[in-house]
Amino acid sequence: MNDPSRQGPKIKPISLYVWVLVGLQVLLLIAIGTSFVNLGVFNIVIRLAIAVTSVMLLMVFFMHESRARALTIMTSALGFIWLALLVGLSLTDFLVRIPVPPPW
Amino acid sequence: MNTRTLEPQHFKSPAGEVEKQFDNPLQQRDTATIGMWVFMATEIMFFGVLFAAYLILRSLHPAGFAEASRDTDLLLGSIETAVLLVSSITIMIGIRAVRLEQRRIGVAFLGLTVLLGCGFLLIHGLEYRADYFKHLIPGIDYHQSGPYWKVKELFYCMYYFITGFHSLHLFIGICVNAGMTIRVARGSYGEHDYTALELAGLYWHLVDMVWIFVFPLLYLIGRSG
Amino acid sequence: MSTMDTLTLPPPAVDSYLDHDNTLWAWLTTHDHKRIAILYTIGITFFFVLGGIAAAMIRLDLLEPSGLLDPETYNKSFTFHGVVMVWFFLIPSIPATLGNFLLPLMIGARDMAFPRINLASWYLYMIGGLFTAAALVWGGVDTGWTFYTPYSTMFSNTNVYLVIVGVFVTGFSTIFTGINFLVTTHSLRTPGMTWFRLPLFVWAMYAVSLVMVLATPVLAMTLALIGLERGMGVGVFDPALGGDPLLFQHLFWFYSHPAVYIMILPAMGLVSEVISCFARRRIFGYKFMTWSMLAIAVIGFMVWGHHMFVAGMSVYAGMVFSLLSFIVAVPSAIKVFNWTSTLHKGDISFESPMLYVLGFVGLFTMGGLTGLMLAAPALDVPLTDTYFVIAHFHYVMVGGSVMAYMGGIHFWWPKVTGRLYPEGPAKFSAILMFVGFNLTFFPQYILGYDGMPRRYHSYAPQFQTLNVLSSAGASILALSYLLPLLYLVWSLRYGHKAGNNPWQARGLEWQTTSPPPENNFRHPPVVRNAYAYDEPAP
Repeated sequence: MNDPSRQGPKIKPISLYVWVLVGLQVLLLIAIGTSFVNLGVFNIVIRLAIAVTSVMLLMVFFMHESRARALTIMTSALGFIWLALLVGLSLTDFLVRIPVPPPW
Repeated sequence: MNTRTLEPQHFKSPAGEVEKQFDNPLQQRDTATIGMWVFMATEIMFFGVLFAAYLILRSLHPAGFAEASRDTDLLLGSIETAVLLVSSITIMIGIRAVRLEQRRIGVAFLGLTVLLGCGFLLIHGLEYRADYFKHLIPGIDYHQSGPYWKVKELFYCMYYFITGFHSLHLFIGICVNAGMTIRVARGSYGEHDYTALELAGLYWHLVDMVWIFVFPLLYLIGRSG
Repeated sequence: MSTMDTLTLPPPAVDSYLDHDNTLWAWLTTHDHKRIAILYTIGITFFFVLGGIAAAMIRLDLLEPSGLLDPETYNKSFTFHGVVMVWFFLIPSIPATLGNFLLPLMIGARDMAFPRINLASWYLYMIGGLFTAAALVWGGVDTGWTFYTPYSTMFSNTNVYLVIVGVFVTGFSTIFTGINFLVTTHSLRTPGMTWFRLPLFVWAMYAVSLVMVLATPVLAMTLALIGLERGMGVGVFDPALGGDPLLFQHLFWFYSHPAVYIMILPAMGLVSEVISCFARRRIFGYKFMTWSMLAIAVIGFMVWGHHMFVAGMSVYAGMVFSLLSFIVAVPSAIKVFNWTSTLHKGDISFESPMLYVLGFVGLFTMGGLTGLMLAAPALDVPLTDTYFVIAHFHYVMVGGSVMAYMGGIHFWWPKVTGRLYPEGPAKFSAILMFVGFNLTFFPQYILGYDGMPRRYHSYAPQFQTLNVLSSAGASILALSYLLPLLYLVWSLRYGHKAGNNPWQARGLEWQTTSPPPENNFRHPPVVRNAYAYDEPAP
């Protein structure tokens, strides 16, 4: 059973797990801290940037352990790309629509 | 000459039984993993509808949504986020231990993951309870005043749809992981047979990832306005 | 072991998948993709009949300008027709039946990657169907198959819940099928079956699975939002709160336009197989065919706004969606050109599957071209919600998908059952279907262009002649659907033995026995080429 092709991904050192955890918590603190600073348009940008970084940390270190790496990376990107399509093309309507005042 | 046998192979290997459509355990394992990833892409689209609706409605009513999101509980929300992030690591440590045949450590960390998940749900329940007393639950008990009370109701609709759907997923994850923990405790899984554990781990990360987006979008944006 | 060696062996005396375990319990718990395909066929045929009866009610009502049915019944008829035909017939039709049966055979696999999930998908389909049928028994639903808000959330007093739950559950069956197809194609191809040797039918299944997997969740969640809004009395589509009913339309059509491609892409793949076989030619422009199918699947997601030109969407968005809708016509046109080029200088024989499929090419082209008219906002504004739209999408859905489905059933019938159907009646009903279809729907183009609106139980008297023509055509069409049911069932017992490859086709599925053994192939096949019609028959 020592044939490498039959084994799964390499077992990673426990320190890696701890470092990723520290990274995630630091990102969380940054997110909470900066939320009290008014950055205008950049509010949402920085929020999403931090979220994406956290997710990337998880995905890069823990979720792509399969041998079929390229395929799973493509698949995981697929959901996000399609979500971007949905939001992006919908916004071509909502962002340029003549505003209708609410009925109240 | 191809040496593959004429009839499908039903053979037991240390990695469990290989189903007839697969040639070897590795193919079976990879296939299951790809299947899980495709399933997770559909999950992203499930949540994506809610996120898309939220972002679009927010773009229509920026001020009202900002005000409403200031009413969310930042402290509890932050604790929930931290708890979930920790759980994502504990589940990985648990799976790692099972792969190293350190069964007791594995059970401990998988069990800890389940407890952290339950903790999240508990804290979130406290949030819902506080909302109920503040009359913030649309459709059940909603009484607010101020210029934005209508838009705030819209925000809280989205808030409950998104967090509710997320909690539902977390609940499923907790059930799956509790089952896995029991099976590990009884001696299932091990060095070569951990695909199911790994898939459960992927699902757990997915639920965690969703929350990583929920937290800033619902709790943080508009906090500074 | 090469395919050539396999085929020089004497006809193998292998038990087929139909030979053992024929108790009801064995069928209901089977993991065999071939049996699940047959379960699906039975379910789909049942719902096709239900939807057909609803269509008959519509055509019956429209015989008279004042309408023969009362308005509520009419509204419930067209809603039921739409819901059943879209979600319980067209979407699962080719993928869940022929696709389920053929995909593993075509790639040389022993089964789907996840057989249990495959079976679960059938059960979900049937449970969803049960809910929808229950809604009918309970008194029907009148929202139209599109469930537009705020009518569906605030005003309709009919069984919206039941139908929404039914469609929601069926959505999961679609997702499961999609996941299974994608993963099977990736993981279980036999040696030598490279991506560009895959039959175009498999490519079609791959492309359609992408759409299923990425679009269906959007529908499910959107319907869940409708259910919540009905239940709670508040929700995100409610304009009283600042919500937006158009948001519903965006989300709904983000699913439902790609759903159109879920219906037509499998037909495109199927047609490529049949045309190539009966023209005895390698498919023309194979790579263009694969890329155009993927392009249709992807671009199909970016055109949904053309359903909303008059709904109050911004004009800018209308322009964007119009442009994208024209772009999606390009890969579709590539496919039509490649089919005709395959026929060019081919050694064509007009067997009944070929007749169906040639009917498909013509009718699909007409449906597609009128689609271009509707993609132009200037023309779409007066034509929206007229019978022109009805005729357009029935040319694509019925003239396209259903014709192809029928062609596929005939083409692979010998493989599935091991029997040949009688060719004479089959040719007759193929021609009858073409005639009946055109008589039903061509008048509707004219009606729509003249301004007859859809979804009304009555109409202005000057439209009566064309409506009567259309109803007459519908009865011919109904006959042409009944005939195959009769002679195909007849052939199960009395048909001639088919042999392994009655059409001398080159696909992998024809190299195994008819009907195939439980594990599909006695020897794992090795593939060296695709569509080798220019080489001597194996």
